[in-house]
Amino acid sequence: MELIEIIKKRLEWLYEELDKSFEVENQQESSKLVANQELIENSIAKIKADPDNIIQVPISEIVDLLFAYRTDLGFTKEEYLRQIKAIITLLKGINERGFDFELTANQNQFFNNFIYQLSGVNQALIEEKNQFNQKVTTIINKRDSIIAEIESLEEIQAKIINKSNKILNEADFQIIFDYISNPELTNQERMDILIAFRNYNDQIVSAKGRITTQIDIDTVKHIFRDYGFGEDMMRVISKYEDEITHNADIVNIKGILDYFILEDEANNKQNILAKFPLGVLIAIVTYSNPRLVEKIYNKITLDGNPLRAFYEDAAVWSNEGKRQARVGLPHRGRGTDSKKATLYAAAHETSYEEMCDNERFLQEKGYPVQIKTMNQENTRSVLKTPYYNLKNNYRILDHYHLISNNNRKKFPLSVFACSKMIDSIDRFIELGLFGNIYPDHPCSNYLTNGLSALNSRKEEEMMALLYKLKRELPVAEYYTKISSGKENHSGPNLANYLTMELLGYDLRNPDKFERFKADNFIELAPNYIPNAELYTDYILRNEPLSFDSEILNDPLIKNWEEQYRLPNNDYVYLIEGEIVSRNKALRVYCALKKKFGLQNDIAVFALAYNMYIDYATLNKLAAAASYQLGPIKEPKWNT
Amino acid sequence: MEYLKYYNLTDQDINLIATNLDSCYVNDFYLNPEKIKNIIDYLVQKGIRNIKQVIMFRPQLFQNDLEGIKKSFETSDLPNFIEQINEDIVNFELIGL
Repeated sequence: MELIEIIKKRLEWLYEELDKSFEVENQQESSKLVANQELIENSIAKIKADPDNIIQVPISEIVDLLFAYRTDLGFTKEEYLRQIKAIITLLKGINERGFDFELTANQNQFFNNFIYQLSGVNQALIEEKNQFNQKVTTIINKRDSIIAEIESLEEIQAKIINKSNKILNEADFQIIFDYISNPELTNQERMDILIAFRNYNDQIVSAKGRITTQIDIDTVKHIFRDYGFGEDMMRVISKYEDEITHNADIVNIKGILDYFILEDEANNKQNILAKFPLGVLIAIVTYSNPRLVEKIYNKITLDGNPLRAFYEDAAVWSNEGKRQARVGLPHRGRGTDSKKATLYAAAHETSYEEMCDNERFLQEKGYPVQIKTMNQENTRSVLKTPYYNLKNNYRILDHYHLISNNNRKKFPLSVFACSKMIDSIDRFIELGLFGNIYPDHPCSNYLTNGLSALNSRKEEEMMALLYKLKRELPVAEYYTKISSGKENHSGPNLANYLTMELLGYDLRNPDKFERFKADNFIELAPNYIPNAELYTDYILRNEPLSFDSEILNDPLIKNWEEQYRLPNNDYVYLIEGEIVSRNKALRVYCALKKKFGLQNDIAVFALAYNMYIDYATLNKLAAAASYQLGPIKEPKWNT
Repeated sequence: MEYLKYYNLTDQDINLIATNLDSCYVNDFYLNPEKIKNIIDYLVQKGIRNIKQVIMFRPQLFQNDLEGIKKSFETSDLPNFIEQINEDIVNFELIGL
């Protein structure tokens, strides 16, 4: 078997495991078990307190459960139900009508046996519940390693699929080695994998006769001049010189350019090369290869002329892989030092195959999105979203009822392209802009009518400022200050200066923003919640979307539900005037409790997670979470 | 992305875009400046005044094709959507953008 097939097979298995791990966690089974067990336990307690209470319990449901767990009762279910109902009727007669008779000895025995059997069922349900919880915990613990393995294998897969001239290095070998250490593999399978790995590298080396080294930029310019490109192209090449010289390959560049020239000749000179924006073409020749370019060109010309959007998209021509994992991992965006890797980023965005997956997913959900009309219908951003992100975002919007309740003229599909959506929604809730906590103020449901606000650049500066204003100003004044005072037919507008001048605060300057944060907020770790960083990392990696209903039985959560939840509002806890996203608090608490057990700091962390928070507010939340907060520390810049 | 300065963005703004934006949005800004300029010019021509905001906070708009954007603008039957967009860029939603 070829190495790529081995990797694909393993990835498929891992994807299934990953999906399973979410299914198990989300399924209703757990809450049903809990409800059944509670029903039986409460019924036993009631009847034990006073046998007459049997009148009040839902007897058919209980007998159903009894027969589900006991096979040796000596009656059919109907007969059993008839007997027990006869006893209930007699007890009603005695208690409610004052009839002067008693249960027969047989009936008494039957009744006692009923209680005895119920205790057995209760025990069985408790055991089943524990086993289920254990299963979930094991799966969740395993998920981290599944995701890590998927990520590594996807990287090797991309290397093999996209680029036929890169040898696999030591780091790649380590990943394969970790896989073959898996005790489930036979020795023969291990050997096959090692040989496939070696064969792959042998092929690369013998085909090329050498390993890629740095190339000369003047040679690259010379090639492009030969193919008729002018000074504009030379400027683009100079701009990306560093990346080109380290990653491109002369044979590849020529092969790709030649392929398009040959296609032109075969198809009456369409001048395909001229259709690519210069920068995009450079990204393609740096990171793709002639074989892949040909394969893609054949695929996208099947339906007629390729779309302009394909020529503008380096990844369509350079990437063949699909990504399914990277669930909730911190975004690997353009960091300060990755500025050089512009071409790499462009060439490794969503592949054509992945766009097809997205198209299928959206169509299944009832959105008539088509790749072939993406230019006219403005659906490119949603089709270019990583598939896993699209699926997750759909689940999140559905969970918050933002899909069904959206009353805009058109559903803004680009919202599905949002990254870190759940955290954004939580913040809109906590800033009083979603969840309708103050129904008198139109802005308190702003998000419902301005869903694409989620999709704007993550404006940390604006969020921080709003957290501050929300806490400092009386409710009416806060809304007046942030709203433009004008509305359109579907809702209010936020004031323009929130994205422009930020009410006179010059927060767009990174130094000033740092100072603003230090002046107004505190960091949870290390002074106040020492484990905060560990917890944050876990939540970002696992990105829980909702909570098990079982968590509502936790004594602390019961207390939150009674004290802080607003009537008929699923979104909010109001803790001493501070709005906390209820789903955030519950899902974070639930996930951390499962992973780390009942630590004394997980509740306060769950309330404060992802907030811009000051000491006084954290103190309020700590009190609600029975957590002892240390004394306030001076901000860093002051010491 | 020097060309963005022509639309009133400062070095600081451009730096913020380069460092904070998801790379999928920013690729076109780097590799296909002609397309971006054409879209911006069209928006200006239609009366959108808060261009700087649109670039910085609704960059995904530029993933679209000028052809599609024109269609959205030209087929809308809402009377004052351009004023609404100038009021709050979220209102691009009104025309499905």
